[in-house]
Order: sequence, then C-alpha cells, then structure tokens
Amino acid sequence: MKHFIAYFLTLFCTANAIVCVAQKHDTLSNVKVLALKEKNTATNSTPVQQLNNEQLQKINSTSVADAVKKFAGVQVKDYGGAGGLKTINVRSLGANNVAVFYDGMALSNAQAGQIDLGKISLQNIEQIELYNGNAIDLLLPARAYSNASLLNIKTTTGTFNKTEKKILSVKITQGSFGYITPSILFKTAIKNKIQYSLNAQYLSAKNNYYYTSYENNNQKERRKNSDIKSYNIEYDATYFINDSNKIKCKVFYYSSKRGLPGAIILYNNTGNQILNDNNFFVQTSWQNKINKKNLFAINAKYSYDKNYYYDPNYPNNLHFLENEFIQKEKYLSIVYKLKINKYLYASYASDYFNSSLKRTDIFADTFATPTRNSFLNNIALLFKNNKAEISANALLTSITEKVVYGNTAKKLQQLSPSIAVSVKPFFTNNFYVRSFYKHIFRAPTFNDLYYTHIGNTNLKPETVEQFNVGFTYSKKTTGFLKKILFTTDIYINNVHNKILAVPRQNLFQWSMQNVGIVKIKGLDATIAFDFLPTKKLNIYTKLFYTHQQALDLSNPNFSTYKTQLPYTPPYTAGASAGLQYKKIGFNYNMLHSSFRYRQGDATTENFLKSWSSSDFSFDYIFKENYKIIVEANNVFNTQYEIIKYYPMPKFNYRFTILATFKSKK
Amino acid sequence: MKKTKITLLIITLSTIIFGCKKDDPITTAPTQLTPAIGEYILSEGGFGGNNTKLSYYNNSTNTIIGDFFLQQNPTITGGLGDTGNDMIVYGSKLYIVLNVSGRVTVLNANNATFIKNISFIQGPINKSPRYAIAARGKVFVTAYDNKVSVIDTTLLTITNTIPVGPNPEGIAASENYLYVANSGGYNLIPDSTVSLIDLNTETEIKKIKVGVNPNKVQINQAGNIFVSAYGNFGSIAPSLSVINGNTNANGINLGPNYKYSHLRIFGDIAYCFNNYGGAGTAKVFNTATNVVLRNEFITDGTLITTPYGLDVDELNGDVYIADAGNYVSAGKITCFSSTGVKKFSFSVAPGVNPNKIVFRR
Repeated sequence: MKHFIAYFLTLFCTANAIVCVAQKHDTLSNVKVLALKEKNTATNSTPVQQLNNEQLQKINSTSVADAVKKFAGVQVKDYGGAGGLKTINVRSLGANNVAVFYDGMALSNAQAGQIDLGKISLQNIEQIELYNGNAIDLLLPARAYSNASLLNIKTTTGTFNKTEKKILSVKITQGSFGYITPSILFKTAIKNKIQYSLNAQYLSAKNNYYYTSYENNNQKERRKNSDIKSYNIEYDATYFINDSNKIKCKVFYYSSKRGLPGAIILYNNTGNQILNDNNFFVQTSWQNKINKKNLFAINAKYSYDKNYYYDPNYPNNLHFLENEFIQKEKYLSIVYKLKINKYLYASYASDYFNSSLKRTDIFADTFATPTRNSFLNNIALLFKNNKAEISANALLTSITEKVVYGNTAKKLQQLSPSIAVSVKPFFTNNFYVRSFYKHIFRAPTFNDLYYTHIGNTNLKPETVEQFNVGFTYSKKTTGFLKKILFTTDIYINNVHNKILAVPRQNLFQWSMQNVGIVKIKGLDATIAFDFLPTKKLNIYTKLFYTHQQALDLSNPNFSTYKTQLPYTPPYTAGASAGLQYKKIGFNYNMLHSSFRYRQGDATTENFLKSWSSSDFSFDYIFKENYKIIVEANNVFNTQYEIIKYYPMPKFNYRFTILATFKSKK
Repeated sequence: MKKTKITLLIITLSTIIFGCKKDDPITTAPTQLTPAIGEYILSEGGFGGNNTKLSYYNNSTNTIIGDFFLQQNPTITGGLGDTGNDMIVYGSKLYIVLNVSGRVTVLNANNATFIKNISFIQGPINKSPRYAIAARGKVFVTAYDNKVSVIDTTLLTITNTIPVGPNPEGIAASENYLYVANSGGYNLIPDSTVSLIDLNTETEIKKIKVGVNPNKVQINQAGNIFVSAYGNFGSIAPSLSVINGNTNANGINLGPNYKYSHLRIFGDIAYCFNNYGGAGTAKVFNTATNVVLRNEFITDGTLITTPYGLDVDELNGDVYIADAGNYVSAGKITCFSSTGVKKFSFSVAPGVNPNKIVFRR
C-alpha cells in the first residue's frame, strides 16, 4: 500500500514523494536503468526493424512519421509539410492494420482506425521498432497481437545512466517555412527509487512552401492554409519497489491547431478549413516478477481525444460548418508470464477496452454515438534454445457495440492464430532462416460503420493473412568491419473484405470503398555495414529495398481488376550513410519511390512519377554540453508528390541547437 | 417463358406508343435538327482530382478522343479543372460548368477551342456553380451563393444575379419562366421548393413546393414541370413531383412508384434513374399520358453498373447512357435505340464519371 501511496505522490507531488521514499527505502540495491539495448534483430522469428535514439538523430527527421519512412516495406501517406496528416502503411495492408504502441500501451483511434504519426515528435523517443506479425515479447498486452504489424515506440523514460542524477536538455530548432520548435526535457532520479521526467515541446510552422504551379509549369506558387501550431507535455514517473517490481505512470497531453490545405484545386485557391486536436491520456503499468518463473503486468489507460473541424465558408444557411468529435477509451490489460522450463515460456494476456465516440456539434442528435466493448484474450507460447526459436499465439477477440441512434454493427467474435519460427540451420551463429504465418483481422472503424451517409453497419471485418519466409545474416567483429547485417524476406499477404478510405473534399473527410480482395506479393531486403577504420572514426552504411505487387482482385468486371492498389509503388528504396569523427558527425539519407498510380487504372491521369529525395545533416558537439545540427533536406530541390495534388516541400533546412546538462552522483 | 412473352409484349406496346404518338419528338423532330456528327461527353472526374475531361466521339469514324479539350487546346496544360458538373450547347458555344474549380469555361461548339473563363470565385469563396440552362440569348447558371447568375452570351460576363433558395441545383426554362430546384442539401433540414423566376424581369416571383431536396428540373412538351428530389438519404425517399405550367401551383407528388432523384425529359418521354445505389437503369414513362412505358429502359440485357447521366438524341430518339462504373475507373457511354436495344458503346478514358452528352450537329 505504501508503495502505491509513494507512487501516486510521485506522480502528483514530487516533493512529498522524495520524503516518502527517503523514509522507507534507504538501502536498496541499484536498479537497472540503462539505455534500451539494441535488439539482435537477426535472430527474431518475425522481421523486425529498429531505430535507436542515436540513429534517430541522424536521419533528418522530426516526427515518427519521417523516421518510419526509413523502414523497408513501409509507405507513409504524407500530405506534405509539418502540418500534413501522415499515416503508416506496412506491406500494403493499409494504416488500419498497424497497431501503434507508445511506451507499452496502444494509441487508439476507434473513429478513424489510424494514428497520425506526424503528431509524435522524435524529441523524446528512445526507440522505434516495426514488427511484421508479432513482437516476440510475452509481456505485451493482447492488443499488441491484434494487428498485422506492430509499431512499438518507446520514449526516453527509464533510460537513465547509473551515474547520472539529473538531466536537463533544452533544444531549439528553426527551419524553412516558419518552422520553429523549442523543447525541454528534464529527468531526475531519486536514490534509484523514483525517476521522473518532464518533456514539453512547442511547434509552430507556417508551412507555406513553394511548389511548381500545376496550371503553369513556369510559375511558382505557395502552399496556403497549411500552418500548424501545437504543443505537447509529457510527464513520466517510475517507481522501483525493487529490482523486479516497478510501477510506471505517464500523463500525456497534445494540442494542435492547423489549417487543412486540401488538394491543390486547379483555378481555385480558396480552401481555409481548420482542424484542432486535443489528445490526452494517462496510463500506468505495474510489472512484478514474483519469482524466477512467474511474472505479471497490469496496465491501465484512459484516453480522451477531441477533434474539431471548422469550415468558415460552407454553403449552408449558417455559412460555416463545425464538426466536433469526442472519443474516450478506458483500457485495462493483465498479462501473466510463466517460465515453464529453461526453453519454454507461456503467457496469457487479457485486455478489455471500452471505446466511445460522440459528437458535440449540431449533428449530435442524428449521430450513432457508438460505444464498443472489446475483449481480447491471448495465449502465447515461446520455445527458445540455441538452435531455434518458435513462437505461437491464439487471440480470441469479442466485440460488441451499442449505438444511441440508427443501426448497430453486428457482434463480432474471431479466433486469430499465428506461428513464427526461426532456425539456425548451420553451426554458425550468423545465419538464420525465419518464417511466420499470421491470420488476423481488423474490425470496421466507427467511421466505416457510422459516418453519415458513408458509413455502413453491415461491413464485415477486413481479414489479413500473412506468410513470410526470410533469412538473416549478421556478424560483429572487433576489426575494421564492425558489423554486417543482411536480411531478406519474401511475403504473401491475402486481404479479404478490404475497406479502403480515399480522401474526399479535404483531409478530414473520407469516402469508404470496399475494395474486397487483395493479393500482395513482396520482398523486403536490408543491408547494413558499420566500419571502424580508426578508433576515432566510425562509418555506417545502410540500404533497404522493397518490392511489392499488390493486386486488386475484387471484381473481374471492373477495369481495376488485377491492377496495383492505388498509391502502391512497385518498388521503393532507401540509403543512409554517415560518419562520426571525434565530435563531428555527417549523415546522408536518401529515399526513392518508383512510379505509382492514384487509382487502379494505369492511365496518364492517374500516374505519379517516381521521386527521390536526398537529405544531408551535419552535427558538432562543443564544450561538452552543446550540440549543433544543420540539416539540408531535399537538396536537389525535387518537386514530388506522395499523394496526387499534395505537393511536397522542395529544398528546406533546419538548424538546431541543443544544450544538455547532467549532474552526476 | 411467360416473362419473355410479357417483355416482348411490353416492347411491342412501347414501340407502338412511341411510334404512334402524334407530337412525339422521335417521329416528328423539329425540322432545324440535322443528324449529329458527333457527341461531346463531359466527365466530371473525381472530387479534388482535377480531372474533368471533355471527350469527343465521331459518329462517322466511330472513334473517340478521350481528352479532346487538351487536343484542341494544347497550351492549356492544366486542363478544364475540377468537377465539371454540367455542359450545355447554346448557339455556337459550349458552356462547361466547373463546380469545384469555380468557373464556367466557354468553348467553340464546333471544335471545342477555348474562348473564355467566367469566374465564380469571389475572395475566399467559391460560389460553386452547378447547372446551366439557356434562354432568350442568355445562359443562366445556378450556384451555391444561392443565386442564379445570368451570363450575357455576347459579352460572356455575368450581367445579373437572381436570388433564389438555398443550394440551387437543376434549372429549366419555359417560354416565360425559369424553374430552379432549391435543394438546401447543405442544411440540416433540406429545402423542398422550386423558385419561379420571371424571364422578363429576371426576378423570383414565388417558391413552389415540391419533394424534399429537389435536384433535377425538366419541362415536357405540354409545358408541365417535373422535379426529381433526393429526399434525405434516410427516412425520406427520393421522389418525383409535377408542377402545372399554367398555374405554377404547388407540385403534385407522383407517388411511391417514382422514387427517383435523376430525371431527363425529351419531348414527353421521361427517363428517371438513381445513380447512388438505385436498382436498374432508367424507368421510362410518358409524361403526357402518365403511362409507364417500361420500368426498365434496357430491353436486351445490357448491363449498366452506375447510370450517371442520360441524354437523348432528339433527332432519332437514341438514348445515350453514361456509366460511372466504380466511380474511379474510366467511364463508358452506351447508345441504345429508343426501344432499349444497345447500338454501340465506347469508353471515355481517361474520363471518369461521365455525366453529360451534348450532340454536335
């Protein structure tokens, strides 16, 4: 009980907590609070890609959305600039089939079913991992198994160095098109018992970048109504009861006001809609290792999201349109992990979440106002010895819904299995063969079901079947070639009852299309070399390549039959290289996307040409505590689009100064 | 077997009706009409897709030029713009109403070469022009500024605006009046009136009650006005109403057998259809006798996925149906004889969502 009191005091009143802990736990062993270790991605039975804090600083990115573009098999739907919506599409399965976890719990959006990753700043991020299939982590909630892929984002909380007591980090970045973001991060540890951190960031960008006019190639135009102002505050507290028993808590708040520039409309430059977001959540988790064999975790979360849309020139009798949606979610998860023997582990996870959506605008009376109860029960097994890793799980999902107005979606119950195997076929520890199969689905979102005129309560869940076979080769040496990593995976994904969203008038309104059946065949390959020519010079290089054929097999009567899904490039590639010499760092990042079509028909109207964008950055550490970073993005000034009629920024720069102060023990 | 017989009977009957009616435009076409040498097809494209297309089908060579506008106007690289909602031919000019791009583009009716753009953008507002009709040497365009703009066809400028109801859509002209459907489709409660405008004074005289959320307005030979309405997409179904052209009294609902939001009348023959999930292609009825000719226009089993536009060649009675398919792929035009038998069809690629056919004579 005292533990709980201390923990709550930690959260709400740091001063009191200090006293509390000082009184009770003066003589405790050191708590392991080191930085997150780089996972050996080569031995994992499911494909995993990873970017760690150090790497994240070298990829010319400000948000999680920018960072994940550097992963194989990923398309980011990017509508351009700092304020544009950015969602992740993994292996052509769509943004709705990716679970996004933030410090151990799901970020949810039952309304749209996809997370805007542009909102998540990299300022406080320690690690980003992308798993195809499941993460092989038996302590994760059942929800981590409930999507085709998992994007696991971890913040810097809990990554203290033992020798550090307090860290204060102040950062300011200024960039092209009126971009400015001051931020502050403060972390402290009290006697290795309590850690807390506060992270705050403000962002303002005009985002009025130049693009080549669509009406006249010789003219330049500026993006209009594309500005954003946002801030976020994140408070974390961790209370270590002992080495194997800890309680974590997080409070998160994000607020933004942005213009919605919309697609470029020929001859009409009038768009001036705005969107305001307010996202709040509080989450807590208690992890306790009872003994060598038994471990449990209890997680709880409450989130509140308000979304306000305003069109000041709407042709109704009020001459404006206001939409306001409020989403709430209560989430509870219990995970129990058991070590059966030296090689075999089992876990049982049970999640319950209650998601609701309401309108608070003039349309409230005729809005469905749905509430969804989701029960997820998952059993997972993991066998691991020095030859092989086998993991399997079965997830039982039950969803029931209630509405205030109109029709209700049907009850949904589904059992979803998966299995993943990784074997070491030879004596060498460098070469692994891996394979996984996963059958999963996504429930229709509230928008899919209840959006006025567009929603359809008869929608079935979208099912996804994934087959993956691949191999990895990795080697670490102490010589000139420090590290080699080579991975290749080929996969077949079958999607049935696919629900596709296509933007309509603006970014906030979508029209639903039930594309039906999709067959995806793909190949993801990555290769990385790290060199250490001298002790002071560190060189890294990394390449990825993705090939995808994503065919629409829905309706043989349509001309789109057997055509590539909209916005799916047959191939994408990326390269990064960098060097660190003493206190100087230099990095290069390149992304390339092949041509693609905005609709199935391969017409010149639907064609989007291939593009490449190259970024450079330079960083320099001086006087120990200070670092400057200069970034030059899209240095060849390429005009390109990811989404048709949403031009991306051409050449732009960012200048950052970072001051970090650490107090040692 | 029985069904086939009945169908045959219906076909025969309708042929007789078509063939015998004295003032039927099919048999007694106005003498000034010459055979169509080709068809202009307007495809509105996708919302926000900037892909409005003007296609041209040559009747003698049976060939289609998908992007005829670009071919005839190669310097206008941006093209027509976004969401071509309506197109009319009047005198020697072709008027294309571009809803989202906010303008009316005027072309030569003979070769589709560019003449002028008439803007409907005022400051930060696009007035969103919708439909056009020509009368007395002028072109009248409905727009979401809740006015009808009057375009002088010589000056090609807006010379007058006539206030009407909310979100006006379809417009029709009789000898002395304009009839404008006030949809109010953007309001919580849609409108259900038609504005009656005196062509002499160019002012609204009154509002005539019709079905909820009126959309298309058409006039038959007897001068009666037929109005199709969307309803509210929920509890209120689409409907057809008729206004007596002599009294201009409130419209009379044609009842539950006429749940149609789209309507075309040529002579006395009405074709009504739904393009959002309605069953079948078009219902055909004689507006003068109130006799339903066919509940399904097509008689040879030709499949139309999404009827999105329908026009009739007034000279020979051929019916051209525009098929939007899945709304994202190239549209298709199928020409039928008046008896509902397919004559020919062609794709309007790269045109998407074709909605209007205009005959070049």
